[in-house]
Amino acid sequence: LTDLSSDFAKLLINGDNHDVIIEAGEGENRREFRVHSLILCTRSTYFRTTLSKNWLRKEKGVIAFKKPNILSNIFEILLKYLYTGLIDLDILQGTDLLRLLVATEELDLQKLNAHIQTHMI
Amino acid sequence: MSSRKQPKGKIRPPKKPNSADAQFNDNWDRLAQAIREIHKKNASILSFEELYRNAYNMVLHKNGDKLYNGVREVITQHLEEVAVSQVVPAFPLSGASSSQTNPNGAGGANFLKVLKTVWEDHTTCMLMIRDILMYMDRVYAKTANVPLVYDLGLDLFRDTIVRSQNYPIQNHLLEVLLQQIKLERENEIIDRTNVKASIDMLLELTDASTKDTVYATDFENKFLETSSEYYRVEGQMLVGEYDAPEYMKKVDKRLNEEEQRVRHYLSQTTEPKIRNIVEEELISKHLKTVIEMENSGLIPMLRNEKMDDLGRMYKLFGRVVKGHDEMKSAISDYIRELGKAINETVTSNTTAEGGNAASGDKQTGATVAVRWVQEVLDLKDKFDKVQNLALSNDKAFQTSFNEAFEYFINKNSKSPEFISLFIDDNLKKGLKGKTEEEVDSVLDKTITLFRFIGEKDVFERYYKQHLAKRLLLGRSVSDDAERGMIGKLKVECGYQFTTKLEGMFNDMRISSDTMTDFKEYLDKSVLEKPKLDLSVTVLTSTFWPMNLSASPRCNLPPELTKACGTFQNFYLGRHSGRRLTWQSNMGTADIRGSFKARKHELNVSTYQMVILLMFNDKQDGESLSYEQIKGESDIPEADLKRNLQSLACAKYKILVKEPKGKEINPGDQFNFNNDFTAPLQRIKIQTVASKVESEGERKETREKVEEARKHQTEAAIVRIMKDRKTMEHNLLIAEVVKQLQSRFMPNPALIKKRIEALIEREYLERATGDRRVYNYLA
Repeated sequence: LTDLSSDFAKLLINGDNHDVIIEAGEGENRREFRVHSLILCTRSTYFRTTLSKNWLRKEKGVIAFKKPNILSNIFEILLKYLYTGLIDLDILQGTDLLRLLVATEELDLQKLNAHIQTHMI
Repeated sequence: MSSRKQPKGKIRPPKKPNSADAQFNDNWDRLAQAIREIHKKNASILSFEELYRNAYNMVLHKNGDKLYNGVREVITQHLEEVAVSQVVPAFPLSGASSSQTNPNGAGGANFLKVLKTVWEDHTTCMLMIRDILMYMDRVYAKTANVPLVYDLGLDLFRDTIVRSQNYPIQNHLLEVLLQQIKLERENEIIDRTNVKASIDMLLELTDASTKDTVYATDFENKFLETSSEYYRVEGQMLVGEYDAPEYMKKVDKRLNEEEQRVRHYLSQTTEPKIRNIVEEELISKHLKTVIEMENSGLIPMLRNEKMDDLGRMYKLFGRVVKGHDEMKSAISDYIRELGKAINETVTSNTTAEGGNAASGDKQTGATVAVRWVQEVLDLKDKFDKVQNLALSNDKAFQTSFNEAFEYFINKNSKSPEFISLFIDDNLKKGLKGKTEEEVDSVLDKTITLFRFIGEKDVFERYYKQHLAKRLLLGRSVSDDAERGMIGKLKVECGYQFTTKLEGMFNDMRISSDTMTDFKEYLDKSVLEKPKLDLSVTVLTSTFWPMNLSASPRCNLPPELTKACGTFQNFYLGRHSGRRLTWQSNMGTADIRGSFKARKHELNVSTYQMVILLMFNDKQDGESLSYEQIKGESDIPEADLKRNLQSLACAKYKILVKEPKGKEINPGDQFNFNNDFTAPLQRIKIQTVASKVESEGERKETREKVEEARKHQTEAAIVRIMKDRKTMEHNLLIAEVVKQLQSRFMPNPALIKKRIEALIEREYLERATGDRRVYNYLA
């Protein structure tokens, strides 16, 4: 299972065969992630909906999705979690932890949400 | 997490209430606009992320109820518009006349089509609205205990469109649906997809109060009511216009159609209900009418062996409660009627021919018996075929048929005798015309009739008589066939039933051994050898049906008497303590007669031989009177008459009687017929049946049976009492009946008499305290 996680982590880093570009954060914080709809849709209802036929928007043949209200570093943690199922909360500071918690609430990542809450207590 | 509330970047709680309101209004305006765009099918310009975040923020800021109500309002507004702009204009021309102006229900079909589009649009929009309000569904709807937004959409659609208060949409919808179904029932082609769409829509909508589907609350009952009415009318029409097979085909078709209809576009829950209606209106209500249809109903089907039609009726009528019962009783009645007719032809024949179906090989009796059994067998075959081909071998039908057969077979008091005679006939002639397999199958069938006989003991008695004759007169076609038959009887009635029959066979076998020994004995002995070949069959008196104790008188010729004496010495020398009684009435003899034309070998009965030998001493033309013959031979009168008849009045006239006539009377004179001619050298003289005597024999048989029953009843009583020691009257009677009913049905009065007889003979006593209880006395 660790192999699987690390392989998927590589997939997120090198963006091979990506079909979605997500733009997270605003202004200076803004950053693009090359991701795979298949993985996101499998892992999250939110992404499954937004990447569904009714809602997906394409720019230059690739699905484009903007998430300005979540900081790109927080979003990266979320993506890593979605790809690998792993998350290290200990390296996060209090504010980031809280931001992460709020983001999981919005994106309906309930397991992670519960995990963070227990970690905080 | 609320306890640790801290500044949270963009979604920080608003500080001022009015700015929060303003932000809500702003957000809501955008969301409402987006929903309107969705309704306009303009969703492609919308951003899911924004709308979702928008709704998310509203719920997060405790504005869930405002959002929810707002959404409800927007959707309701939209649906109202849809009703006015799309649904109402599509109304078919006013209900009643629509079917006339649009014979194909085109207006209705169009209306359904519009409704289908409206419904599809609505559901599509609702799915998208649900997407953006996902957070509201998850967080607000759950805590506020309100329907999820998609379900809210369904409710709104139900109340605004389907059950609109403002427009008669519901009436039109139901009317059009029912009309479409009616058109299809009348073989019009309708567009099932449109109907199905509407039905599916009704199935998806839920009635708020019953929690059942709108299909069930609004549509189903109306559908069933109209169907009832439709089939009520149709049933009456069909019964009037078609014969039974056609009627059933129509019903079959209808049932099939309704089943298909349900499968194609109604709810499966409706299937049993509509089926019941068709069954009730087209089958239950017309059961009797169809069964009794003249020239085409159940009886004509049976008469003409219309297996397909019968099968169809069986299947169809099996669907309703009373169906098979009605069929069964109608068929049973028919069997009884046919059986009665068979019985009647037999009785009328017997009386007409003046013959009597008594024991023996008397022509008239036997043929009547054989014909009766054959007809019953044919009838049985016919209904077995019906059972097999049309009634799926239904056990209940079989039972009822069997009862009917049992009923009429036992109506004919002679049936045990007839069946035995029939078997006799087959075992006697058997191989002449039929192969062994054929005989065997006939006998198998006969056994099925035997099962129906109530008085099995009477049958046994006749069977013994017939078997005895076959064995003694060597008429049996084959030992194997005889044994086969006994085997079959054994299977039916058990060992007890057949021991005596088997004993008879044993006697025959031992006798043939004895005869071999006797011949050797004669060869070795110094005694004078008899001048004739004597063949003796030694019978065990208890096995054989003759009254062996009272030996019939008859003066045998001296040579014969002497030969008999020799055998008697031989036999008694080997088996001491036995008694031999000569049954001259059962024997046969081969004698040679010289006539003018040629010599003939005559095979005659012992009595006939005695009579003929008297003429040996007479001159040509010298006659003997009846009285002379009677006095000299000492043959019992009845036997004498019968044998004289065989010699003088039958096919081969060995004797000439004066005066001529069929009957033998005192004072008649008999001459040896020297002019007798016959083509064959060997002649067999049959013994003629005599009606008066046979009637007597019947009575005698009856009496013997009654006597045997007394013994069997007593034996049963003693057996039971020995086991139970003490028993109450009614229980004892019941037990006795149970034990005896495989042989005959004892009546309680008979049992009571036997109990009393046993008390008299001190096998039983009445209990001192209770006179209804008996004790067994060891």
